[in-house]
Amino acid sequence: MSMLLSSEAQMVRDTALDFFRERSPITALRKLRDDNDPVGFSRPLWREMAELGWTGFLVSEDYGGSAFGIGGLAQVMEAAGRTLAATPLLSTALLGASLLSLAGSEDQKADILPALVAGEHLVALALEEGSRHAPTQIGLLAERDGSGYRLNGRKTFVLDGHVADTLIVAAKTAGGITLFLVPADAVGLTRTRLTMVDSRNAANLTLQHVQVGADAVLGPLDGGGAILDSVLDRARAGLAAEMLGSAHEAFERTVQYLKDRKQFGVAIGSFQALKHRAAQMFCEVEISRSAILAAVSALDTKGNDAAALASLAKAKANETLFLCGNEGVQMHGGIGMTDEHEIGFFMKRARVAQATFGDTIFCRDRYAQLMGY
Amino acid sequence: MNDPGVRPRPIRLISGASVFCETFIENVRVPAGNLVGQLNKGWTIAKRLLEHERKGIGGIGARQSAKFERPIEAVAKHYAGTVDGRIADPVLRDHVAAFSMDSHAFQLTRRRAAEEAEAGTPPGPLSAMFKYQATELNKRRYEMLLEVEGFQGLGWEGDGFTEDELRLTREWLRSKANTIEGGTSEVQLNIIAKRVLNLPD
Repeated sequence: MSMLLSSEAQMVRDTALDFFRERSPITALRKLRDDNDPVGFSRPLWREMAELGWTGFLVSEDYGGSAFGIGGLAQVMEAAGRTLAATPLLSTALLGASLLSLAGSEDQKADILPALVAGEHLVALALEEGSRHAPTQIGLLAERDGSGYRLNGRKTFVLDGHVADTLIVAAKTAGGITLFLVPADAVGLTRTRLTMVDSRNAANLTLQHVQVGADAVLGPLDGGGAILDSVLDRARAGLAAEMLGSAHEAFERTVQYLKDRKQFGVAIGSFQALKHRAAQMFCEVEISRSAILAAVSALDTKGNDAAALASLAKAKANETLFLCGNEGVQMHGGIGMTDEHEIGFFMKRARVAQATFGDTIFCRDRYAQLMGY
Repeated sequence: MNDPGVRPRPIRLISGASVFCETFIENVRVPAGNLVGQLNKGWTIAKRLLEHERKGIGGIGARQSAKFERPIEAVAKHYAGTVDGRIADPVLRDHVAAFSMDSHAFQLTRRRAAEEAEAGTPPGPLSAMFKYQATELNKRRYEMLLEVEGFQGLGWEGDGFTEDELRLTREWLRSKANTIEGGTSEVQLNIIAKRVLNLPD
């Protein structure tokens, strides 16, 4: 396991940083919000991202990807986090690509992955049923019906759920959890878009007697729990990378403000009360970066400690973005409370990202369990 | 030391140890051959010695993984008991995990800095945080051990406590010096603010 970036990963990083700064600054997110954009992200931007190869980082060459790995995708997600870019990176390029690559049959992969890589097919994981991340508490029922299955139940907080072309639904079956591929136009499926505080995409789903064939089962029957386990670890590490980008940006903007803003004739950054807090933010950002680099490296090399490191990375990212978002608003003072200023966007994104795929309490519990205590 | 003009007065510390003295030197004659280094160059030598002090303290965080120390999770299991292999008290377990994870993430940061150094990258801003982080974590570690051991971790001497427990009390008190000696935590934060963040004076 190495915590240094390869020259290829460094190139991806540089390209992605330039790309998001130029093509998707925070003004883009503001516009999506203010226009009440029905899609919630820019489809042309997503196609450009696909052309850069980012949608195929977790897909093998057989299906049009490059299998570059989670380490590369984490660099893209970190860069996206810098500008709070709203994209389906997490739902589709990470979760969708991982679930299909790891668990899909040849037919399922051939059906969806090439279009996913091309940026023409969106996938969303329908997992949560309550207001906190609980990947093992699945009540949505899948019952045998002839040669196929009948699905009944509700899902909540499905990322990009209202625009996805395929939903991957975690359902309760006779002997465990099973994953099902459900097309967006399935009869009996209702999707309701949620408006979240971070202006990013999420939806509630209702499945009423949704009929699917036996070929809709993704991975082994009753074996969805293990697939979710490993895919969610990837999601935690990837989202942690996005959050690191946001935390780093909020921190840098705040330090710049401390240098620019004068009070009583001096820069407020000369006050020790603020210096110490800025220095602490620096430490937290760098420590989180180490945890994330270790996690993605372990995931790519299938290290034994990958799962624990993914929870460590997410927990540190949760704490660090919480800190930098809150301190950002406080240190900007009154202007930080205005919608016109961008610093508030970081704090709003922080809370949703923190709750997604494991808040700090969840990550600590999982880490402790994996470490044997 | 046995010259009648030398009067050492041991200073008793909060841990009970007396590793420092106030030493009074009155009209003590020494032969010219006893001069260490050169006349009027003593501060240069003293500064060099202080550098060793700071470096030694900065290494504290690395000590946590030393083999002779039981990991805090094992200590917590011993004192709080277990349910299905977990530390029985869920709140204590959460505290232990929070500490262990911060410690883990800091060790990874040390390793990243080492890998960067090996790859030939000039020492970056990471090293500026090591003394601060390592000593604050070490203090937290002892506070965590006290929390885990309860009354048993608070003995001063005598019966009713194991040797390890009595040593913990003294080491906990000793650890408070970590963030004072060799540049306080506040000084370390000033250094980061100035050298890394370029915040104005």
